[in-house]
Amino acid sequence: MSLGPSTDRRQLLQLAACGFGAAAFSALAHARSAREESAARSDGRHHAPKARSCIFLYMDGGPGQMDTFDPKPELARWNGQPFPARMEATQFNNNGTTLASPWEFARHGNSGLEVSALFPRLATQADRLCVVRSMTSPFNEHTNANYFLHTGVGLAGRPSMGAWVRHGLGDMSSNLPGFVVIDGGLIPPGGLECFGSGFLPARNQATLLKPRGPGVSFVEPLVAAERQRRMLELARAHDRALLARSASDAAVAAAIDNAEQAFRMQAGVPELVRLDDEPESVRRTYGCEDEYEPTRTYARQCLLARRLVERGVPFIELSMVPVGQDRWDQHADLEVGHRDNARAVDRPIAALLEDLHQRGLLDATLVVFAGEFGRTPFAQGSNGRDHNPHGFSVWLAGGGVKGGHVHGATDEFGYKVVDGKCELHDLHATMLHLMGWDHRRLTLRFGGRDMRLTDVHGRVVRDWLA
Amino acid sequence: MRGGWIGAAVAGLSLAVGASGESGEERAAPSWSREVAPILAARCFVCHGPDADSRKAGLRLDRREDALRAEEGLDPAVMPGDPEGSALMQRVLSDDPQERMPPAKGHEPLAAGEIDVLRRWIAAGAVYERHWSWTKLEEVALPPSAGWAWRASDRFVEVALASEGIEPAGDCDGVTWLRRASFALRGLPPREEWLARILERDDAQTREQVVDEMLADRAYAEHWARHWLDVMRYAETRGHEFDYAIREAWRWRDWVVRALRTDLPYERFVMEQVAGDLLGPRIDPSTGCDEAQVATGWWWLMQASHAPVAAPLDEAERIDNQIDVLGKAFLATTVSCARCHDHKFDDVSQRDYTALFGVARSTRRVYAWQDAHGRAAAALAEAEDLRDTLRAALEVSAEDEADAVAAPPNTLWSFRGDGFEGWRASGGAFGAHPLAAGELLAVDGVAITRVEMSAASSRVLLTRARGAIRSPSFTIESGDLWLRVRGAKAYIRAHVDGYFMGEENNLLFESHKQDLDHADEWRTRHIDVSRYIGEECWLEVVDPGDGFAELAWVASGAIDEAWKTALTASEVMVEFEEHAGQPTRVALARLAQLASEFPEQPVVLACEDGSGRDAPLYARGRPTAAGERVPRGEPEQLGKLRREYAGRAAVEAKAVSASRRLELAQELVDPAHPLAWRVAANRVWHHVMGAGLVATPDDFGVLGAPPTHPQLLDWLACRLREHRSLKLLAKELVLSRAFAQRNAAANAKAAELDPLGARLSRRPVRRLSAESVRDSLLAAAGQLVERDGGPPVAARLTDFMQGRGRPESSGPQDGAGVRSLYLEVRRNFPDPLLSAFDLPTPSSTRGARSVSNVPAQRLALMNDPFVRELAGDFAAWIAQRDGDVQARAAQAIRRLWSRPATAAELALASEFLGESPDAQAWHDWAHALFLAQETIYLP
Repeated sequence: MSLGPSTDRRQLLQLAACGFGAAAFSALAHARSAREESAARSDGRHHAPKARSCIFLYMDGGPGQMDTFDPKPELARWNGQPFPARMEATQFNNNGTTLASPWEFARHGNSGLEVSALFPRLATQADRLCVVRSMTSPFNEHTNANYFLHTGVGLAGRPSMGAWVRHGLGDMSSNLPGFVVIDGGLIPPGGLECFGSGFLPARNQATLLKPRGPGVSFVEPLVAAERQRRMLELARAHDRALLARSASDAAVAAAIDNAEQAFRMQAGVPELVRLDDEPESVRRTYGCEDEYEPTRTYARQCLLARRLVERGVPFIELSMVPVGQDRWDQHADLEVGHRDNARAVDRPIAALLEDLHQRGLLDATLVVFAGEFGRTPFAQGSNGRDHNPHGFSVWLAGGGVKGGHVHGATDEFGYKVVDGKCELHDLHATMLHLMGWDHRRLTLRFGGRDMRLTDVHGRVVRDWLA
Repeated sequence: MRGGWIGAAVAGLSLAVGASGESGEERAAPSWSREVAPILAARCFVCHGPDADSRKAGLRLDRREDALRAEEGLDPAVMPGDPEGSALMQRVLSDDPQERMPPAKGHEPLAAGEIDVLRRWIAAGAVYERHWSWTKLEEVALPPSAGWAWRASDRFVEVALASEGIEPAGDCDGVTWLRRASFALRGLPPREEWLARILERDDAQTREQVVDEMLADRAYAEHWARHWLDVMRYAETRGHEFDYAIREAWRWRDWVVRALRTDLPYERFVMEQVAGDLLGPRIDPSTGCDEAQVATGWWWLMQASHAPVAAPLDEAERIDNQIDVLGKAFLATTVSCARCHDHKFDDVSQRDYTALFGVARSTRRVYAWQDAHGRAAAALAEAEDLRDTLRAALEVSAEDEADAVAAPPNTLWSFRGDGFEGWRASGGAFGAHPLAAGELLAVDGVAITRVEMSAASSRVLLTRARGAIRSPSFTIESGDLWLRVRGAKAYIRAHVDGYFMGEENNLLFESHKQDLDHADEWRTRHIDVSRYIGEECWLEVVDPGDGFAELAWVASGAIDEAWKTALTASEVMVEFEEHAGQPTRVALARLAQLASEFPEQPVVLACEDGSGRDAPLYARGRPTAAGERVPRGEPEQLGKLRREYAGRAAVEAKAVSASRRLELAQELVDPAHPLAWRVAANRVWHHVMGAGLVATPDDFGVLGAPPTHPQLLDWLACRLREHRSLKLLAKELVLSRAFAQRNAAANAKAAELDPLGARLSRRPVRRLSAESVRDSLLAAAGQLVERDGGPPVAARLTDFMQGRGRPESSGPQDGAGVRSLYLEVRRNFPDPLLSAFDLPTPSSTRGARSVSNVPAQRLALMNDPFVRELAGDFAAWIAQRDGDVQARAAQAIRRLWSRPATAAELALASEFLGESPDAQAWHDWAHALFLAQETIYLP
């Protein structure tokens, strides 16, 4: 028996008569069957999706493209010398000399895709990655750039990517939220508003899932289960009277329905987060036992992401873990900071891609790795890099994406895009396309306009598609 | 229970409906405003509307003359009376994907119903009308009533229902009405005393008395203030990376509460917010402070980033938000859509946007000092007189020439006693004019000295006086600004493109604000503006209290090293014993007394006029591509309409201000304004009835919803224009029969014809607002603490609320028991309980909140320790009641749900609690009541 919002009123009253939570603890099994039933575009999508879920690996702070996926040997030649090209205004305006990448690059896989030594394990997945070396952002400052990356507008107040996806799905009959942020500990500059629902209904906002403890805010019962069940049954009995007084008002009925879902989440979410049922070998592959604590945390995030994909959650974003250094935002000490950040995510992400593949889920899951901007090829101070929105690298993998592929190019210093220029609006448009939506038609009228994630911009980049 | 009130059943009555425009005539010519324009706007105007830049094929459908004009070799898009011959119809009906409009690629074809509307419209002559909200607001005659109506406003509802053949739902009972009314007016459950009165005698008189008491209650103002805070995107932090505090924001919030409490006439309510600093003071009798100035604080409540790499773009974003809020709040017009191009749908051009941009750009954000009962001003005036007395007694005159050339050649301003050189002095400390060398000073009555160097000075009279001087705006031509200053506990500051976040974090604006901490030494301070050549700047010297500041000159560009040399100031003491005895000593003693008694002055965030500067048209909204300058002021088309409707040349503003903000304020509440009164009346309707007559309260444009009852809206707008009273309007609605209807439809036909209650045949169930959820639980628990404004209670933080700018510690879990209005509004750390229940993000105007239904709401009510604790307090209250289990349960239900308990409910209580429940059982029972939907839904 389905307990989604579509449950009709008679069923609901029957359920009430059976006692509250009669169907409890079987929570998570429903999500998949409900999802499978809705195969034929009753799910709100515009076309058949290549990817049913998206995992967005948010690289908070902006990794340096020339240190990760965009090798620039020319920088070594100019290392320590004045930067030989025109420099745009930067955030800190404390520009030093040209700074070569401390990391070697090598070709990997059949495709020969180049990955720096920062990511030895991720490099084994090279043939699955579509690296976009020509991404740009209009913003040079974290919060504007974060809002832009997440919502398509550089200010707070707009719906996040995941909220749009959740909105596109309409009435989901799932027992889990449709947009989950697995919080590694670093909420991005700009705050929770990066994951907000803006003017979309609140049901589209992200649910913050912690990879440890109870997982979700207020999910831990404060009284013993039996007592809570009695309380809820009493409330339900009062609700029946209210329904009678309001001619079975739909809003009240839906709220009652919601109570049932919340009740089940109390059991379902901690079960989801515990990871006890994962084989030790899997946990080890992800890095749950790694000696480096940030790796262990990110490993749990990645493993949780897979479990959410299995349960049909359509949009999952991972925020970064604190590594002692700053997020990827290395204004100084690039070598230490990038090393630690990479160390935290390298093994877990590689394991995630491989695990999804082995379970046959990668073909229907889009994985995106992106920061809000990149970094300058010249130093900030002596050994850091400042923000660079003029050209940076992101990658995509999984459902519908061309693996082992490089799109676009920056100049010889990795500073500005010279070929195949893309905007983050294009990334959004392509993500939505892969997930089954035409970005121009996924809209909501608000404040006199049909609002969308891509504003009046964006194009699907065919070159990224398999 | 309400015998004698029941009017004749409306269904079946035939009434003279007249041309109300609200009847359900199906086949007549469709209404331009309500039917045709929305289709054209949504489906055609993006390419064929007012915006010339995006127009395709030269075709424009928003103006009749253009739509009827035949392009070369083509049929005209619209041929009145001939749908088949109109190219518009041919194109929307075409099967050929190359031909079809809207284009097959990316657009759905028009629906059959839409096509039918267009066909009938063309057949009937393709009449274009002015958009409904821009038409003249004219007095509406009250329609006749067959007896159903209780209030005048009900007559419109009665006539509409009769003409549509919808039977009204019938009246709810008195206690249901009372709970609705109390939440609508106060956001809190009704007082027990009112419930008792309604139960004893429910008649029109009792209801009216109760409503009057509700409106007089402070809770009314608090609840309605929160509505207005949504409209003005109220917040107490800036969001972005570190979520810095917005200092003194709460003083504006308290202004809103006081304004609503005293029922400030709506026109004054608007004018003070737009230009209170320019209107002349309105003194609050309780505080003695000027209310008008505080009212302008909302201009500065936007989100803000501390280190924008492009200052002009940052300014453009800030002003865009101000325009967006101003346009939506007062005019329900999405002016900011015209930032980059002419409005796609409404008659708002990029010139109009730019005109408002100029107003905002000529307005400065300042901290101003309130002067309770004018005490500071009085003290300064007396001190000035005393100085004159001393001057006369000592026969001292200024030696003007002493340092006449003591400034570098490239000086922008130097201050020599005869005037502030175009700078504006605020707050009193800087006196009427700068000091000239040789002038006499008797600061605080401590000693008599003579001025050694001409300068603008904030210690002319009393050290504790507060004040600032602010320069005209200028364009930065050199990277170096030099200020010859001395002072203590004061600061100098450069404002580039209106940037102000440097007071929290000055990255990229490092030297722009400098503290003065050298009382005894003249120094030349350097402000580095080299990143901002070509940008606009103004300077200020501020003495916020106990110190002082002196400014001799300001220079720009390279200056000789000699001008940078520090110089020890030497006071020239004036000996007086021999020529002046007693009067001098008396004057000095009085000065000392004035200094020691000088009053505290609250600081407020406010507006001040700067230099009037028109803004240029920015191509695509980017300040890097500037075009022709547009005169600042009100949107042009609105001005034209006002003049047309007023039937006079102009109601033009009587006063003139540099920013034109004062004129704008007066224009916004011109009685002839087509939008102002309708927008305000609709907001009141929205909040009382649960949904607006116009369902989009912030958008009265073509893409917004048309009014369901246009005549009713206009009638209400006329009443507001007449009496200016928001309270009277709310009273009319709460006492209306429309408000007091049952929630369920009268019959199947009514349910079918009015599925959502928008035809007003019933009053659907409403959920409480986020604040009312929390506040009503506090009230039930007996923990609600009354409070008369003041700084917010620190935000409560849970483990799930992390990120930069997180305060070091959480505020109290229970918010100190205050109403939610008084909880700190941190943009990056929204309250978990309130945001689960749809507290909006304070980014821009939000006149209608979403009402969502998410598991997070239930989880919070079940497992938030705060809610659990309140249930415990409620249980403790119950335990103190007299009587057996059922008697106590009855009192609890009455307290929580504002009605007598039913026998069935008491039986449930007995079943749950047993015969002698312990504290835990009561606690669980009380919490279970909180979890019942009746706690948050109003039937």
